[in-house]
Amino acid sequence: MNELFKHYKNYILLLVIPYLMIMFILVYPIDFNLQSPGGLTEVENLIEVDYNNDKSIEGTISTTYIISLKRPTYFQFMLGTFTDYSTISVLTGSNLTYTNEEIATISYLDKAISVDASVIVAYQLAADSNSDIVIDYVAKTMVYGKAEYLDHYEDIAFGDQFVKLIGDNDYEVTEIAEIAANTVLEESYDWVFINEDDEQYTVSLSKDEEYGLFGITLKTYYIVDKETTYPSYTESNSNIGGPSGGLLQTLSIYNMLVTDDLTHGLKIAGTGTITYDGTVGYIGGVEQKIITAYLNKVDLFFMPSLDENYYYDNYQEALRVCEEYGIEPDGWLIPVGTFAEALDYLEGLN
Amino acid sequence: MKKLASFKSLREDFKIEDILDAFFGALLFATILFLPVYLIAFEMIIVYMYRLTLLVVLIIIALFGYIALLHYFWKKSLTLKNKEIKTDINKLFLKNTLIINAVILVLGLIFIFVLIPALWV
Repeated sequence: MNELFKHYKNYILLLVIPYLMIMFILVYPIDFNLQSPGGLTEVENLIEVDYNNDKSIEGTISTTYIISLKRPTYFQFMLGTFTDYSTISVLTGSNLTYTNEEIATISYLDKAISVDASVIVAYQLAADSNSDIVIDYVAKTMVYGKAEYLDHYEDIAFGDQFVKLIGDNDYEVTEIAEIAANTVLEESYDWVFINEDDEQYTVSLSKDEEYGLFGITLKTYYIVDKETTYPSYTESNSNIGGPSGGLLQTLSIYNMLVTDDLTHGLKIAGTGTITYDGTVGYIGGVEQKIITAYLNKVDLFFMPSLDENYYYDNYQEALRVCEEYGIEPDGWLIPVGTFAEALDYLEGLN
Repeated sequence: MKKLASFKSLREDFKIEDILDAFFGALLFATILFLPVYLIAFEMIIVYMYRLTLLVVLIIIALFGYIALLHYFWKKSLTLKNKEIKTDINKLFLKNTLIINAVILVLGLIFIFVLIPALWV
């Protein structure tokens, strides 16, 4: 080994500074968000329903994922500027305070919750015409956000279940809506949670002096009770996070439950979250998702339709992207406001 | 006299410690030199995920380069230790490089055609 060092000593001395500079560009993260096109994931590979096993599904139903890179390196930032397909923005809001690992955890939590929402919506609709199908679910309130000033920040994990807190006058608060009204008299309260290992734990959380808040965000979700739900289904592990696959997951699950094949042999993709009442919600990364679908030559692309409640409009953005890249949106880009609208469109195809 | 091209004959030219020392030196040099290449390839894969297959091909080619460089430094280190080697070291290391690169090619093709479709769920 020593003879190599001796032989290349001059080269090593000459190259050490440029080498360190290159390594700095390759490893140092900067506070930006880089979005690039990703790919398609067939929902059948993620969720498999044990029903209608003889049914032949001619086409495919896929969710669309993109690459959303929080805190890219300088080099990745430069790569992003070399292609029209990528978008770079400054990291803002909670993304700025969370670590990349925390952002990934929230993203996987969103994905898991969206799968349960898809199962609930698809099974409920299928159960309307098939009494064999049974769907049961329970409401759970989970930790969805943590502020920097939250006490016991490291002890409370994203996805932990909120059980109760001991409020003013020892009142046991179990609902999100009751928290503010029952935490007025004191600065600290005992909160009870259940972690992912099903262990219950209690932490005392204080209100922040500046904000007057505990610094925890809770959300209530419906989780499928797999014991009593029929037919059973299996979920594969996914390395793709986020809730935007909700609509397409729901369509695919529904297609596994009914006898007719909704795909008509088409390569169907799309994006849009799903809520428990079947409403299709808005998503981010429209441009990259449209490009991903276009590059993957899909036949139909479902998109959240116009919604007056939003200042930012997914569908208008999608139309702009189609125009920019010469994609003909008629008959390809399908705006839908609800799961039922997507279903009607597919059932109406010849 | 025709030179032999086998690790057995190389053992007659060098002590096993010298061969290993030369190998680990070469491994260190080749790895340090190729580290930025792999970081560049890895970061390109993340940003240009939609060109994943193309980038995996580039990584396979980069691996070929890494193995070739590793053998180059290994050979260089051995020749610096002993200039009168009886073994045909060029032939021996070329053969070794080609065998390892063939294995990398097979593993790479398995990755492209089997693992990539299976992993992205």
